[in-house]
Amino acid sequence: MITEILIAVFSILSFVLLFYSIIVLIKRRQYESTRILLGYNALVFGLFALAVFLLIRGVKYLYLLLSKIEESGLIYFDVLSTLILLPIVAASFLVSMLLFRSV
Amino acid sequence: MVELTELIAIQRYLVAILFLIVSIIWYRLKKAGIGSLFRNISPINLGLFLGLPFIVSLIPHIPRNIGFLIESGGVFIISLVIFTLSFKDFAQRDNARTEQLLELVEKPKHPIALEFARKIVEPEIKMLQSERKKIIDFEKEAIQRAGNKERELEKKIKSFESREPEFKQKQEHIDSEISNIKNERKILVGEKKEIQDTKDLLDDQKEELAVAKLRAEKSKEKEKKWRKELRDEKFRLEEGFRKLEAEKSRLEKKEKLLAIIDQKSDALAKKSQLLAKKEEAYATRIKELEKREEALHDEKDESAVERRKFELEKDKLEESAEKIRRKREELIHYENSIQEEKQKLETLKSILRAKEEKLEKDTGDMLKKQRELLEK
Repeated sequence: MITEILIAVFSILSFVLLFYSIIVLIKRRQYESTRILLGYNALVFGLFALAVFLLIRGVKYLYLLLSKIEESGLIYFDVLSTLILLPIVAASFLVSMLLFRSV
Repeated sequence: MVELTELIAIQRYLVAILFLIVSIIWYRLKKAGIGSLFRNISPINLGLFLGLPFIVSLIPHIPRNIGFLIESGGVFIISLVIFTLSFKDFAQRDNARTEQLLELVEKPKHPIALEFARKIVEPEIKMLQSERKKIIDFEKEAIQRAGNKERELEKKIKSFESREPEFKQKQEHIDSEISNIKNERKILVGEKKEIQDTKDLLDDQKEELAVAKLRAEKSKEKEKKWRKELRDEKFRLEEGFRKLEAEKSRLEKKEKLLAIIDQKSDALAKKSQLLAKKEEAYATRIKELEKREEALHDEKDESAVERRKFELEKDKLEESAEKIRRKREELIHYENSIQEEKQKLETLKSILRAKEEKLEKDTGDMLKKQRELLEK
């Protein structure tokens, strides 16, 4: 119970923090090289996907706490977050690294 | 469901491997000196560091919930650090920029300010001045055009005013013309009505004529048809007449044959009369037989009723006989029991008699012994 509450709180707070960080990171983007800019954009996009992933996880645990449904009943939250969004995060990080390498 | 959970677990491992690959590439790039291209590299470092909690949570022997907690906690801490660092950096840069801008305001002869004024503000001012000139010219032109138009309009108004009585006369003339036209129109409408009535009459007559013509044509056609039918009928009648003659000769032959048949039929009639008499006799006999049969039926019914009564009586008698037989059996049984009792009594009597005889004998012996004793 406590672990679930902690997971939900951490996830929601992380989402908020990441969201604000993304806004700031977009504001101070660099325009020296197109490749660097693209890499930076891919990194920011990865962070955004991670923020959405955290939001979904937070919502799932809150729902679990409030509605008292078993975790197996909320498998589609996991499908959306772990099966779809987490690979997007890793893939965008990888793309940004490849773009930085090509500079 | 099981397949999905398995797929999710596999996906987590794949993501962890991808994060590892990303961190290796980033480490190599840093070694190669990519850091010099960025103003501040720490947010990127930390962003990539976000993959670490996902790798840590996959370590075996850690419970699933604890793994998720580690993951969420790690992500929270890292995102908090990213947030503070990026905001701090942003605030620093923002302050520096505002200071630079303030410097520009405070020192108007600052080289950047002068360059800015020469390169950006001056062309803008020139452009604005030329635009202003254009607008002033356009305004002047417009005012001139408006004045010209006003003058033209005044002239036109004056010419209209001078021609006004002429217009009034023309108006009156037009009004009188309109009233004349209206009167003529009324007359024409009346005439048109009359013409229409006559036309309607003519149309009616025309229709009647057409109907009469149609009737005449129809009657003509009918006459033709009748004539044709009459011809056909005549032909048919002639043929019929020929057929009738042939039929007549055939009938005469048949009549002769019929006369012979009549003679034979008379003989047959006599025979049939005889047969009828015989039939009547048979019928009377059948009636008598039927009467007898009815009488027999009645007798049969009566005998059936009597038989029924007899059967009922018989049943009663059989019942009473059964009762008697039962009573008799009971009596026999009773008699047998009495007999047995009698035999038992007789045996008891014989036993009693034997016992009496023995007692008599015993008493005789005792008396003898008594006497002997008394004698002694």
